[in-house]
Amino acid sequence: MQSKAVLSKQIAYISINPSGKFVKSAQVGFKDVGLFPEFMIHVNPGKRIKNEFKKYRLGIFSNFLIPKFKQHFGNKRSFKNEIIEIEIPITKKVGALNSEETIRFIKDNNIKYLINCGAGIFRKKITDINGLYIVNAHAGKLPDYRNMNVVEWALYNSQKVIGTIHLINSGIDTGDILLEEEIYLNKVSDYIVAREYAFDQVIKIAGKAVLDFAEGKIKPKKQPKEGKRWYTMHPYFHKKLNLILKTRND
Amino acid sequence: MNTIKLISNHTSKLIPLGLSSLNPANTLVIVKNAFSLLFRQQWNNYISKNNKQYSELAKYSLNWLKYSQNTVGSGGVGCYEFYRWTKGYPEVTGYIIPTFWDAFHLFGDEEYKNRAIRMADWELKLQKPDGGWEGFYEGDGQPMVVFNSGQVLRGLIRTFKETKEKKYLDAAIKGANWIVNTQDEDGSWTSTNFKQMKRVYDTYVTAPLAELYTLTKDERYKESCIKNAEFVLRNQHKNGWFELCDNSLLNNEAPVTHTISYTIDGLIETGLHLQINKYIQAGKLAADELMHKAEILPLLPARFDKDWKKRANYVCNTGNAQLGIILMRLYEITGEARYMNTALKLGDFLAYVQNLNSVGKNRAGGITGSYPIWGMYCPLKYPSWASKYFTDLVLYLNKYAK
Repeated sequence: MQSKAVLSKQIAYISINPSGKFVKSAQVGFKDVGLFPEFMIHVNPGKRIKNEFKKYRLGIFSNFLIPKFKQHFGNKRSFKNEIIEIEIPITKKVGALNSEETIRFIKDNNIKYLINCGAGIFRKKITDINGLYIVNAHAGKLPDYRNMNVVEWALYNSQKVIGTIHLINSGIDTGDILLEEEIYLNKVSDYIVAREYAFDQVIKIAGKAVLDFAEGKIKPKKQPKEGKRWYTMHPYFHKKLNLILKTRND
Repeated sequence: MNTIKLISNHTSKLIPLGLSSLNPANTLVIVKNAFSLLFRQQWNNYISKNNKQYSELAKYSLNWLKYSQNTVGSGGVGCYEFYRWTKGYPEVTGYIIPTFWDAFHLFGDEEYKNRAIRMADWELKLQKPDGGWEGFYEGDGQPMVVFNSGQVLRGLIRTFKETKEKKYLDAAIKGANWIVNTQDEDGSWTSTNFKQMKRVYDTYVTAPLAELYTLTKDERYKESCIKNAEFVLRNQHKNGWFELCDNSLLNNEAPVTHTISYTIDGLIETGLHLQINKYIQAGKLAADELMHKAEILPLLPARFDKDWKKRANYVCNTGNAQLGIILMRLYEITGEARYMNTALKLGDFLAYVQNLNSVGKNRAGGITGSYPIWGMYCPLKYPSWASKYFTDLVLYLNKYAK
């Protein structure tokens, strides 16, 4: 069994926002199991913004940039007690997620575990790198809750919210499962808080999943091909969900 | 290449259409569409953001249909084409009739009922001695067409159910008999269909035929429906996509969402009337794929190839509305909220399009063929069927999402 120090040198976070709360929460989870990942791959958000511009044109401000800005700076309710500063020794800035630059960095540094902290969609040329495990935190039970807004949909359907750590393959939320854990949202009465809290909780167990997997304590579990895909919840259902949550807590 | 062929087939319309674009109201619509393309996704949550009600949107759309009926004058409903109003369209008026009956029951306004009856009576006058109805607009000199006749059946059956007047049922039976008698051995219709094309969207004919079976218990109708549905299933790929699904000779490799939705809706409705689950499931399979596309793409493109890859850069608004209706039906069948979720978004988009193109009395409340308005599905046109399906969709949403 390799030491935690050696394992830490094989782990990299990958994100378009390296100082964001998603990375911070992941760091808390890794620290709890004694791991301190060595690398951060910082993906330049330019390409993402360009893609969003194609989608929204001049509507990018009201539909993407302003909501993202609000999301980033506006809501820190679930994180206020856990602002941590853990240094990541090596940061590499890359122009695009699925670029040769990213592939070269992963290979040159023998990175074995790539922790996805909001980097975008991984293409085959990354997922097919030999010996690389891309780890994702998904706040829904797989394969029943694939794709988007799964916390809200599970709550709307009166089902348990299950956080899943899984490997990324060429599909969306279809990779092998490493770890599942229930996320308790009993007292939450607002869907935005529920979603943020759930993602915060699930990324925190990524460290444990990686450690247990590296030590051979867990075996990846294959997902059936069939599953359910969920999409962005329409505001009509958001309103309905908030009513359900409020009634439940009254 | 197909687009060029399509344009060259309609050269007679190009000059009047080009000139009509100089009409200030038409110019304004075109300019508004151009600006709309610069500010994408303004339709997200459009209905709620603008404090609109589904019932109010339905009435606005129904007003356009009423205006069309008044302008056409015969009793039928026509389309606005930027430079003229067309004559009444027997096929489309046929399936508009149930929409007016629904509006009558919801709003309690006798005018909707009277108009539905006027449309049905107009259809009776147009029925050919053999039982079918002509293609295209009234008096265009087209032969009888099975697909078009099937849609007239929808209006007559509904009017019979509402009024109990036997003349509507008799005409429907006469039409149905002609449809059944002209069916090919393989279950399709060829010789009596548009351009003699063998197509799968005739499920939208078997649906009213199946409904008529529930009324008359005439086994020939049921057998005909099953024969056609089996033909359609033989032409469905494993991923839900359909061969022989476009209403043109040129675009079968990438059918339009309008005819894909006809096929899906027809399969589900036929399955429901005859209580044959595999037809419902076959429709659901294709609907799930289209729903996925509607969710992940900024707009639902008008055409899809056999791998469900998009093959158009414009939206067929009718196809969007029809898909919304199908998803609401699947929501009713399965109780799964994701169907309604997508239907709500399609409703938002179409309400935005309705507002965008409502300039002047000829266009107020109407739905255009494409978004943007110059898209290749009925360019620069307000087809009556787009308004019909939009009305049906918002009435459906009004029922569940008030």
